[in-house]
Order: sequence, then C-alpha cells, then structure tokens
Amino acid sequence: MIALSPTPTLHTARLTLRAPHLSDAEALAAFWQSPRSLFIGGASPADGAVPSIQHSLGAWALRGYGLWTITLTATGQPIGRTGVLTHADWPEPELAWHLFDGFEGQGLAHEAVLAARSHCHGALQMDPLFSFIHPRNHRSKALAIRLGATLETDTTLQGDTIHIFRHPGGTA
Amino acid sequence: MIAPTLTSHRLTLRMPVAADVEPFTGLFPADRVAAAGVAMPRPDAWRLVATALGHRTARGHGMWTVTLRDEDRPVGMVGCLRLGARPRNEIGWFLCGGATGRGIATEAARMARDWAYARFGWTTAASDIDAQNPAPIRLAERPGARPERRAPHPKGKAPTIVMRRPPARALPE
Repeated sequence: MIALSPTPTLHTARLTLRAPHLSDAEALAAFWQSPRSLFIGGASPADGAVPSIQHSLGAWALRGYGLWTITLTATGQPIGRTGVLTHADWPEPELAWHLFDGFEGQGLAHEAVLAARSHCHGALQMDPLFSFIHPRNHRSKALAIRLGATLETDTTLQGDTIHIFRHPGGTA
Repeated sequence: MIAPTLTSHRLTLRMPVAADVEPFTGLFPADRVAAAGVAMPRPDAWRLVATALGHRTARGHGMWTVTLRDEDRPVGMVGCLRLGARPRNEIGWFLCGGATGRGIATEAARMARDWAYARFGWTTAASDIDAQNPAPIRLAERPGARPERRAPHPKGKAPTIVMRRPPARALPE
C-alpha cells in the first residue's frame, strides 16, 4: 500500500475502520457470492472483488471519501464495509453498509456506521446523508431507524422500488 | 515518490486525476468503440480513473495518464498492471481517437514496461489484445512482443491474443 488515498482510520470500542486492502478480496468475494448481497445488487463475479477494492481506494483519492473496511480490532478480521458511495446514477452521496456472514446481531453494524457517519458529518462536513434500502431488507431498515434515520420517500432504482432513508445531521 | 512522472522527448506519463474523466468520456479509441458499439459513458470513465488510482495505491504500480509533453491534455492511459483473481504482469494501454497513428502508444508502452522492469523487477509482461484487432497487435510487436497463445476473453467477448513481451535481459541497453 502507498499513501495515496487519504482514508482515515477510525476506532470504536470493538472495531477498526480502515482503508480497503487487497487482502479483503476473499471475504468480499464470499459476501457477493452469498444471498447476503441480494439487496445490493446480488452476485458479482468472484474476480470482481479486487477491482471493487481498487475502485474504492480510487474514490477516496478522487473525492476524499469512500468505503472503509470494518475490521474486528481484536483480530483484524474484515467483517464488512461502510462509508460513502457515489455511483454514477446516484442522486447524491449515500451512506452505505454491509456486514459479512456471521457478524450480525451483535450491534457491530450500528457501531461501525455511527463512526463512519460521525466522521462524514463532522470532519468531512457533509450534508446529512441518505441511504437506499430495499423495502424487503428488514435488517437494514431496522438499523437505519436505530441510527435515527427516517423514511424520506420512495424512488425507483434500476427498475426496483427503493426506500430513501435520511440520516440526522451532526456527529452523534 | 509514490507515482513518478515519466517523460520522454514527446510524452509525459503522470498520475491520473479527476480532471481526466471529462476528456476520456466519449473518447475511447475508435477501434474499441467499434468493438464495444458505444463510446465510453462518463460513469465508466470515472470508474476507469478511480480504479487506476486504486490499483496504484494498492500495488505501487498501475496506469499513468499519457499527455503530450508540455500539454496537460490527456491522450490516453498506459501502465503496468496485475489484474484479476490470478494476476500476472501485464502492460495495458488505450489512446483517445485523435492520438492514434503517431507512435504514441508504442512509446508510452515501452516507457511503462521499462519502468516496471527497472523498478519492480519484472522480468517479462503480457498484453492481452482482441484477436480481431490488428493495430494493437502490430503495436505490441514493435517493441519486441510476440504472440504467445490465444485465450478466452475474461468477459466472454471476442477471443484474445496474449502478446508476450521480451524479457528484460533481451532488451537493448
């Protein structure tokens, strides 16, 4: 790794959010091959993980924001990703998250997303972010509500109806 | 230095920047446009620049933006890459339409290859080229690459020909 992408490392009680790294590829590929990726576009080719990681690193370099890899501080194991996405057909930067298999139900996503959101609204001074959430993605919806986000409206994304949740501003 | 700027008498190879997205949009080289059926849309151009920067961040080498020396207008990209699930050393390039036919790609590819050989200890490199596309095959032959084998395109498109670059020891000083 060279210091081209300005990704800050964030620490919470249990987690470290760090820049994406090529060593995340295996965990990311497994996630995309699993039903867990159904609500964010579904199965990607196994060799799509490395370009995706490079794309995230490049987004940090170009825009100054992007996705972090969420890792367990105790072991260093990657357990998911969170941060800001701006895909081509996105109306504005999105606060996104996904956890890999086996890490749900422990409040880890909440802990990670809160840290990412605080950094974006605080240090990066971004306007209150939104999140796209598929109406049937109940776990993600519950997390958005727990994070204080509210359902703003519905829209259509790639042919599907999708919720737009708006996050509260500030760094709480 | 994380991303050296390379220069020859005609060319500058520099880090890709966000401002390269606009010139690359809709300007993918004519032969590729014909193969793909469309010009590169802006999101693809953005993704190309972002992925190029990320490749360099992750591996320390990657694509440069090629400009004519003393102009900052991008005319294409060239670089030394390791792609895919089973990466190997590759030299890749593309030129925007108006920049073809002047030896720019040959010169840029040679600069990238020599840099990879000198700085990263590469001893050889491959370039995968659409087998139906004679211009880049001739271009790869100019600095000494030879067809090695045919290979399926990674995304199931037209067959690809793998051009093998000469080993470092076979290059003139």
